[in-house]
Amino acid sequence: MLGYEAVILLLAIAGTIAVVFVGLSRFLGPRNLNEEKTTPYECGVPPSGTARERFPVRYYIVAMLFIIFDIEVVFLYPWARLFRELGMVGFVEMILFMLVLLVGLVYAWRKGALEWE
Amino acid sequence: MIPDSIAEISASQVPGDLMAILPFLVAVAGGLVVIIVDLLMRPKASRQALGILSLLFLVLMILACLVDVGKPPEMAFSDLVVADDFSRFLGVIFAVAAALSALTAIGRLPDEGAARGEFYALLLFATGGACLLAQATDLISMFIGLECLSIPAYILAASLRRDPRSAEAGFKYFILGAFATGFLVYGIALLYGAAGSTQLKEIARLCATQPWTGNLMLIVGALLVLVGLLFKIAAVPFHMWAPDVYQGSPTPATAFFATAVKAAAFAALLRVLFMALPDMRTGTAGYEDAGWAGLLTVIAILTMSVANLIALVQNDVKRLLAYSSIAHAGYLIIGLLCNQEGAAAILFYLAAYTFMTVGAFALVAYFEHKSGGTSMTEYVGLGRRHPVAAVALCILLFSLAGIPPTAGFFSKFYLFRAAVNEGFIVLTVVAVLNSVVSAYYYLRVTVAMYMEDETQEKKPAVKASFAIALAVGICVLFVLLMGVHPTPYLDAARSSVLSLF
Repeated sequence: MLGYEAVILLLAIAGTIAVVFVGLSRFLGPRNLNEEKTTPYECGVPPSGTARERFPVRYYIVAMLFIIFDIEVVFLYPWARLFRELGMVGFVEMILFMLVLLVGLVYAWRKGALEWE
Repeated sequence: MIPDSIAEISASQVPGDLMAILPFLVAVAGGLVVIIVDLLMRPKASRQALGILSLLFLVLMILACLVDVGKPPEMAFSDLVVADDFSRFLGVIFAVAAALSALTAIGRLPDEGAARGEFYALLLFATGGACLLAQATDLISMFIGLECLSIPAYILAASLRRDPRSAEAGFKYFILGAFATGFLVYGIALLYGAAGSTQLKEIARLCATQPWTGNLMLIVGALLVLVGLLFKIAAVPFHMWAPDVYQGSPTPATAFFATAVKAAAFAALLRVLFMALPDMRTGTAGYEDAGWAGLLTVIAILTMSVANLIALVQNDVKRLLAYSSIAHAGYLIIGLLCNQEGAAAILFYLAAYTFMTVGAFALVAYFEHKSGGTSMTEYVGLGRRHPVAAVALCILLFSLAGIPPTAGFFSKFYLFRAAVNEGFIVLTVVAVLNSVVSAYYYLRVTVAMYMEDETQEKKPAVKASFAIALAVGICVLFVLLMGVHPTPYLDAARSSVLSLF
């Protein structure tokens, strides 16, 4: 246990505070529900219909494209951090990496993956 | 802080590193070129030219493998991969399997409405992944190779977009494949925990320096990695996906799964078992069966027997060939138990098996196109309607059954001889009995083609597709060549496995 006392103490205090504060407002606070308060929050727009609808498959294509380029950025950060140390080799390799992804993007674009209609 | 020396080391090593994975680079570059050319073509234009383009890259890939044959093993990328004769031999197998599948696709896919450029690009990416898998000397690079092989394979399985069975095949392959990958990654994590390294040779060093029997983390890790790889070769009890996937996928893709994917998984199994876990082969004195040798003996017997028995009652030729490919994985597992001679027999077997299986699937694709189905009843009377194709299918089926003078006979002969020399008498008897059983269902197709009376009206004979004819011709040629004069191929296999030991 040596060295973990502080962590455990912190967990205990944090847990106590959370339980006490939520519990207090549960028992002491006034509760008057109306329609506006119980409807789910949708960015300020009035909600329409049920959430369990069929999504157009394009959502997934866009989501997949997003993830690919998201990951590209994840790879770019450490490369940018070590740009000088990696030198020309690192530069050429990263350009090749981005070119490969670019081919993928152009392919998806030309095949109409980005068309919404 | 990263020292400056890293840049200098990597700069001076890059050309050598890249040369070591040249076959992989050729395949991946081919895939990218196919994608780009596909974009330049008119949307409605035939995509057969892309198939020919991918053939060109696969031939280049074979050359890239062959040009370095005989050179000593060369490690690259901080010992993540190795370029040795083992990976070159398998690289040729992968490229040949992909090229023959591509030829089948050129002849077949336009009729199925799946003649899109992606098919050839994905085929090339998967072939590149297979090469990387065969070169891996580290669990991480092995995992990358396996995923680079598997993910395009999942898409290939589902590439008949209008066919629900193809969608089912892709979905099943993906879900179960992802599950198996999960096992593999857990296994890798545990092996890393036990050995402190993902290098195969570091794991071997750990096994050599301390007894493995008490090391639970090592044992569970090794078992999970084995499960992941046995799934990929469709060994019983991890075979459930194979018949559905093989039947539902477009036939050219099935040919690729049954050969290249299986060969790549065997390459990984050989590397893991012989390079990382040679000391876990048997247990301590008194518990000799406790190692992976005992485990794989049981799995080999199960795989052969279950697959052959279920194949007996199949009435669909494509599904029958799927069970046949499971059974062949069972024979191949025997080779894993027989050290150097067994590993050489596996390579020879994989080469022969590639030709006979792709050839058989190419003919299934051809007949499927002509008569519209893969059911056994469609094959009745083909001996009269398509005499040349029927003879070719007979030769390939005889080879799969192991009847001389075909490649299938010698591949089984070398495998069983290695097993007898290692003292696996019971296992060999079971395997021989199983190949007798398998002769029944292979010959059933022949009987249907030649000896059963036609009940349905005769369908008009259509001119054979040149691409499929070429693929089948190459397969039959090599099946006979390796059956009549197997020595050069066996010698190549023997010298290729030296770097594993």
